[in-house]
Amino acid sequence: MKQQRLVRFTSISLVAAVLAACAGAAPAPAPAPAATTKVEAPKPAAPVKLRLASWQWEDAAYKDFWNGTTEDFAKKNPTVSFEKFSFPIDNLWDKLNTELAAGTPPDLIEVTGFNVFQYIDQGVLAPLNDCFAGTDIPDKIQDQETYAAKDGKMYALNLSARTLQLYVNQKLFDEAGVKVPTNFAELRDAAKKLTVKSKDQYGLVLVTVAHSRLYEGALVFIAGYGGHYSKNGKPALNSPEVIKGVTFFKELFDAGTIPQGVKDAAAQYAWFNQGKAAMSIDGAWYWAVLEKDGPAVLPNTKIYPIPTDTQAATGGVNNLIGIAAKSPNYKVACEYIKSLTAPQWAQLWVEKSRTIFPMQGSVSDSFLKANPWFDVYAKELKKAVPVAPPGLEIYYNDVQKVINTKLVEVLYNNKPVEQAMNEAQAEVEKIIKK
Amino acid sequence: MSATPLRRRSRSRLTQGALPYLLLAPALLVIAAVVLYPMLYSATLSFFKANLLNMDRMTFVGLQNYADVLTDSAFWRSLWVTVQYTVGVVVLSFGLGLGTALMLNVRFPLRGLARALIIIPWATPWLVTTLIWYVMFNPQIGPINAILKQLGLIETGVAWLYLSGTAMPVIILVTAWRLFPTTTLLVLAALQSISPELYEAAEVDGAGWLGKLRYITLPGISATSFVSLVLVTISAFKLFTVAWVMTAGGPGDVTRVLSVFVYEEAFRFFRVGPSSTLATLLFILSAGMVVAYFRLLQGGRDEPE
Repeated sequence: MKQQRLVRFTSISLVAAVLAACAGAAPAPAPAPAATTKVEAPKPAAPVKLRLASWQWEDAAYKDFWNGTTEDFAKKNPTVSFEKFSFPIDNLWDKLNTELAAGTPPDLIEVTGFNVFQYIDQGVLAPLNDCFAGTDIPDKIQDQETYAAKDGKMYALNLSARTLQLYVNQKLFDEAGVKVPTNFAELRDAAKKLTVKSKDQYGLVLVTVAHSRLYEGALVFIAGYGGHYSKNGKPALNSPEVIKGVTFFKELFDAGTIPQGVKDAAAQYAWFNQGKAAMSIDGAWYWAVLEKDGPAVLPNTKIYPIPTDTQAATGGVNNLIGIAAKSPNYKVACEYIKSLTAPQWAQLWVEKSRTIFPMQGSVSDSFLKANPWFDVYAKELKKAVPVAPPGLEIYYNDVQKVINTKLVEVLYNNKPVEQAMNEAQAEVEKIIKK
Repeated sequence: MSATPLRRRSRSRLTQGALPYLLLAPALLVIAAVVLYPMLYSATLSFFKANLLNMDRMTFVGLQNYADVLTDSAFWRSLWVTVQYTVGVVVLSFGLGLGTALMLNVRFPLRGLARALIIIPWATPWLVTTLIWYVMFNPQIGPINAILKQLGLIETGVAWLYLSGTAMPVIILVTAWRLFPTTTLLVLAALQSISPELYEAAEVDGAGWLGKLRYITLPGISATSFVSLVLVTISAFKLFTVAWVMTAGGPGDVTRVLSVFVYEEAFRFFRVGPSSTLATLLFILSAGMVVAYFRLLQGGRDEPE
């Protein structure tokens, strides 16, 4: 008897649970019967919640910008609120891409100058031409009509442009009586002289394991010989310039002037912050890191152009923001994006992030006066070599993976540079063909 | 006899028969929703060409993804790497687990504490374990290199995780370290179930330590050891964390196990079709191992006494 009751109870519970799960939301209450005299009351705007995906929400260098712009926009548009889609950059993409796959993307997506091309190619971002129509945004924002553009359509607002430059610990240079390098030969010489094994001190610090910074670190040397990973839109991974650049990297590495196993930006920062590396190659944002984590080194830090023969710096458009093609809130999201180009926000971006908002007047005279070190970044931007291989931007992830794999084989496993880069060339060609 | 008691009895039998299924149903529903459905969906995707960033543009390609994957040398290379990794982990973790269990079965002061401490690696989350070892093997700041330098065995830091000769042994070591307590606990339980009288009788017969190990201990723990071996094999075969966090499959593809391959295809290169195909193949291989395990276990049980 008891068992029967238990079976009945379990069955009823299960049916109830299934019905509850299958049922949709509770039906809306029936509309009130229409009044006999119809009075049209002004309709209040429907509340809109914009989800904004960015890895910078919690970043000290950027959070004031994002909090400031969203709070200001919400204040001016009381029906609009924002939801942070916030993850550190290394985790953000998996979360974001999963939402894209599920068809529930955030309304606004901040992207990098590297991955924006894949997002455009796959129709993730909505064109912004309608949004920018009647505004001066395409003219006043540098490279706006050319960078994240395809078939005459703009897909994202350029938020920042950057380059990498040479950070120098002047105290270590002075103590060793070494002058700041300006070309490959001087860089090689300085790196060797400033490497002191007994003090665990290295001449130069770069990321030396598979990472986007390893790819870019090698590109700095390759660009120093006037090359890139592509030429005329085709892979050029075994071109003479690439071979020379990678060989130079390997030479510095084998001479023990660069620490091994530097895995990411944080690890690279740590070496220079602690005065254990005489040189580092990094962006302007690193200055803020030094202020916080390397106060002892900061007073002796100076920034110079990249010490290669061409002195070309890698960089260009760095951060962008676009609207998801599937966002139901295009118009509101567009208004928010337009609001970002106000001079006050452009200047705030520069002041806080120490990277350039690509708009005339964003780098104010007062900022330059207070931060004279920034001048080299502002000047060198014109010479910036794009990080993604020109013409192969949509294959950036594949190319980066292949190059990093081969660089690690060259650096740690002594694979001959020419052989490694021939293999890399073949692999990238195969990927493109596929 | 009236029909009512008969009906009652048959209804009672029916409800009795249905009860186990009804009680299992909630768990089965959850499993179907969070395990079965994703698996079937993934298997379905293996017949499509699709990009993770835009799943609306899927194209049916039949068995093309399987043909592509099975003719791709990278797949066979990754499968071979996975086999090396699995065998390495199984051998090392079983060896460590068995040795530790034998030691912990001997009476010594603070044995209880030692038995509790042995669980620590197993109780530590995979990611934490992996990150700790990652730092330990760092060429510049890692304590392993520091100790080896102090001992005069090396002059400069060895880049353990980036050398093709050392990367695989290191990830095997780390995985085995994390897994060996499972074997220890299982084998220790089996050791305690062996009757002490057997050892006493063997001693009377003049058996030494090796003889007792060979003729009493090992046969006594063989069934448990087998279960432990299978569990560790399945665990290692599909493991992702260690190979991804410590080496990201490198240097080159030296540690690119199948689970890393699946992840990279889906989340780095957005190729959903090939990654689903790889995941399906990985599942078939794992399921094959489980079936083989049950067959072997069944075979062992069917043996005449």
